[in-house]
Amino acid sequence: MQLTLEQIRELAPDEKSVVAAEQLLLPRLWENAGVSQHGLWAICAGGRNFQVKVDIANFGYHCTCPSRKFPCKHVLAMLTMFANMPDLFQTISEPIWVRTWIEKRRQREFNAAQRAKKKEKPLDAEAQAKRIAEREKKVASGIEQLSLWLDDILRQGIATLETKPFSFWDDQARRLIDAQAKGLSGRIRNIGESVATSQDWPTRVTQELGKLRLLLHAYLNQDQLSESLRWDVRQLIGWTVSQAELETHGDKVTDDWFICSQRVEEDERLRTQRSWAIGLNSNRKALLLQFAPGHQGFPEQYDLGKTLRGELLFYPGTVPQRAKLVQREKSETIPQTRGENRIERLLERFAQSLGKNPWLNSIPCLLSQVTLTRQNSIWYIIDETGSGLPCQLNSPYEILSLTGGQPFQLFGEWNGHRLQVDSYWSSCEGGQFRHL
Amino acid sequence: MKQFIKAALVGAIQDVNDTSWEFLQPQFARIDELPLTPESQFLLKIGNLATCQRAGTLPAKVAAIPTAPVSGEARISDALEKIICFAMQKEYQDLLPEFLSTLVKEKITISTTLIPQLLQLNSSAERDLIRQTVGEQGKWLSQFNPDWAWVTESNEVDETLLTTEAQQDWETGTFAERLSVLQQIRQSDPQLALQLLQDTFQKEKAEYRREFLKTLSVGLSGKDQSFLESVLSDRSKLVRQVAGQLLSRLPDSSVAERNWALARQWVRIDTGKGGKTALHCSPPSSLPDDWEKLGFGVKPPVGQGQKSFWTEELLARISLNNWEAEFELSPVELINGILNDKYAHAVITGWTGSFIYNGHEENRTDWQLSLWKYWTAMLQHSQKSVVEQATEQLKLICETIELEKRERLIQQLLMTHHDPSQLPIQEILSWLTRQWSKSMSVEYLNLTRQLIVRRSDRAAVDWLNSLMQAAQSLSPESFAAALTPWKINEQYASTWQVANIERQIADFQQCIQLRFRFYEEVDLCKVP
Repeated sequence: MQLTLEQIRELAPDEKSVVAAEQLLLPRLWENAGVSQHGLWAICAGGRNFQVKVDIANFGYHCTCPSRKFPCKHVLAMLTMFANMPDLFQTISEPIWVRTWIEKRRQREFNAAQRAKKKEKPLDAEAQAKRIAEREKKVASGIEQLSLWLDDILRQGIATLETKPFSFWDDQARRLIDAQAKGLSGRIRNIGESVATSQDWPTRVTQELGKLRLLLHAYLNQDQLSESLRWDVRQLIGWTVSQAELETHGDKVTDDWFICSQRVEEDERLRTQRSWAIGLNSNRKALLLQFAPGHQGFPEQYDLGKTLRGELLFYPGTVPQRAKLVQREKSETIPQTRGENRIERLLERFAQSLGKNPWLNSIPCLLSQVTLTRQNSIWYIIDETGSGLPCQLNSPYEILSLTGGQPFQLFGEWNGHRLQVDSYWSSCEGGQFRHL
Repeated sequence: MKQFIKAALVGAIQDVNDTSWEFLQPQFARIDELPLTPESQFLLKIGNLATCQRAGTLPAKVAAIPTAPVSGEARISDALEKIICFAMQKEYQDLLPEFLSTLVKEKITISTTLIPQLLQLNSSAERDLIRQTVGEQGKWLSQFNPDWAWVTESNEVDETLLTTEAQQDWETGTFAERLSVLQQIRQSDPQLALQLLQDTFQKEKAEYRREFLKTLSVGLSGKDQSFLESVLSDRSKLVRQVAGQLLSRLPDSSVAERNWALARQWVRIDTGKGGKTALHCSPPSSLPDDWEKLGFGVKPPVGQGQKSFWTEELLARISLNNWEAEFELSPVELINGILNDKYAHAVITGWTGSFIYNGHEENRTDWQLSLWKYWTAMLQHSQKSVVEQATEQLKLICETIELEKRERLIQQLLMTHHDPSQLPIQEILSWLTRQWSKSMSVEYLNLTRQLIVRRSDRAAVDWLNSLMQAAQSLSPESFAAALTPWKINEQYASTWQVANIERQIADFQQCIQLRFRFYEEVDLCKVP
């Protein structure tokens, strides 16, 4: 099992847990530390002996301490100790308390798989068609009501929105939830949140309302759309792609996938992990989304800066981005990524993508031979020809210091306004991959 | 687009006639034919326009920045980089000056990753060190962040600029700025500073007057005398006090002469049988009329007698040379001569005050050692207040002693004291600079190990609070000795303190380990 400190940090529920775990990184505090093919375990001997164990197969963990944080500081500390000082862990067969726990986990997994199999009843096509028809009706009614609401806004003038309370938007968003159009509901809330937040809000809000109306029009005229665009439009409205649909219409690509970006967005109840992968042979870029309630771990482990060999299933659409991992193998391939070295080419690609899907938020990009520069307090990424894009950076000075103004390669997302830089490779300092 | 937005803002969508997007006109015409409300048609046009605008984004033309200079010096290793990162954490930040100065000394360039982190520390005390550590690459990087302008700013003061810009600051700045300006001007042009102060002195608040007046202690000369004499009639007692102190440092001033005449009446010499010399101090029961006018305090602090206080006040303003010349005695003889007197402590406190105030400038090492000896003896006094006073006086004397000698004296104090655990060890160690010599380190370690094995009382436990100071200061030659296992008195095992003692030793050794690893890595990184 190979673990990096970044991965362990990612697992931590909060920064406090990381700090607390650091205080336990003393070998004298740990007893009976061991590792086997199935698990990793140790006893944290700090007065009360806590049994800490990790299931290597899927990074499941357990500790006998009463902490309400998952994983607790003991688990984080043990994993860190393993990453830093693997020699402290004896390679032996699991003690009984670890074996019992792993066996129970395997049993539970097996039972869950059995239950899932049982659930796979033959599809009742008639009932499903009925359900879809009912939902279509609801969505259509929601859209009709939304169109009238939009007309009203325009009739009164966008300027009046400044005086409207947020409930004005929230009520409409809730009505769309009732109409089973979750995608539209989210858009309404986002527009409502951008009112009166900047000087150019009238332009941004008007444009967003225009794009929203365009989406409603597209949905109401689905029969005139290409199949791939229809998939896009329906997903934007709130229709999900079922597993069966994904398998039928999705695009399967097998490649060595280099995980070049990873972010975790936290909602009140849900954590969303967005990982971007680049196909080293196909040069396809895939967005791998994972969701986890509360502080639970994500089902799949995507190691940032590492390559995995596997088959990805791309969701249907005009500009397929989102994908699902269906099969994975270990890969030791060293990434040799080649990006675009002209910003104009990226902009052309963006224009083409918007031509196919006008509601596209952003496109991923891999740029090479670019440098970071600053003009009028704005940071720009520029190519060799001096063409630049304004960019959004968490740590511009780190990039600048590491690259020394020399060309480097980056991965990011261009949304038409700002280039969000997620990771970069510097030609200096051994060309290390760095995530921001 | 602007016309569309304007129309949308007020809801006057019918009036739009924007033909700037010619290629979209056929599309707009098709939208107009759709069986939709005018508002929906308008929004569809906006949606089309917004998409086209986004798709038509052109790149900006921006100039590249000059590249960073390349350093040919030895590079920091990954392990060393980790250690520096560790030292940047709050807990170990005290080690940073030692680490950085070693890197500078050994000409090891830090990694480019560390440069922004170091610049971000923004510790004004360590700016010079950081400036040297980050080198040319750091200077290059600092040009992109206005907060890091200090990296390239020069420390040299342009005197011509000082007089024009600083005078403006003096007139309009805050109190702190004005004080800083006055101090700078006084350094370069004492007369100008005096002039500036005289011009505004009467308009200032009493507390400002006092602080401004203190700046005259730098470059004090006979030229300041008449102004200072005029300040002796200031309405504030505290201002008069400062003026009196300054005047007493001018040997030709009438104040200095008056002080000496008074002091001479109070202290007299007796030569007893066998030629043994004894000094006696007999302060009067009432003060002379001009006492307060000379800037002296009248009321003693709580716990101190009036006469003793007056003696301290007066003697602190008499040059030590006067006593030696008058009685023809050396500092040791003077101190020994007064020791049996009722006011001996007050007299020696006054002499110490005089030494600290102006004696050290004359490099009077004889006084330095004699006073050091007296006050170290006072550390064994039974009264807590005397011990506290002795600690305070020793600290002030220490500041006048050069570093190597200071360490020798402190080491001697630890070696000769009958029970070092009674010393205010943390305070005493804070007078030393990092890092200690090998002999000082060995002495401290021996003492600590002995204390922890032989004793189990409160004083021994308190001594251990100095372990972290020692961990940051022990010389690298003593690391091995510090890292050998520590034995503790068996009686601790049954007390609640055992966990705390073990933690303190563990923290101490962890810090030593960090320094040990640092020096080990530095050796590996050195240029062959």
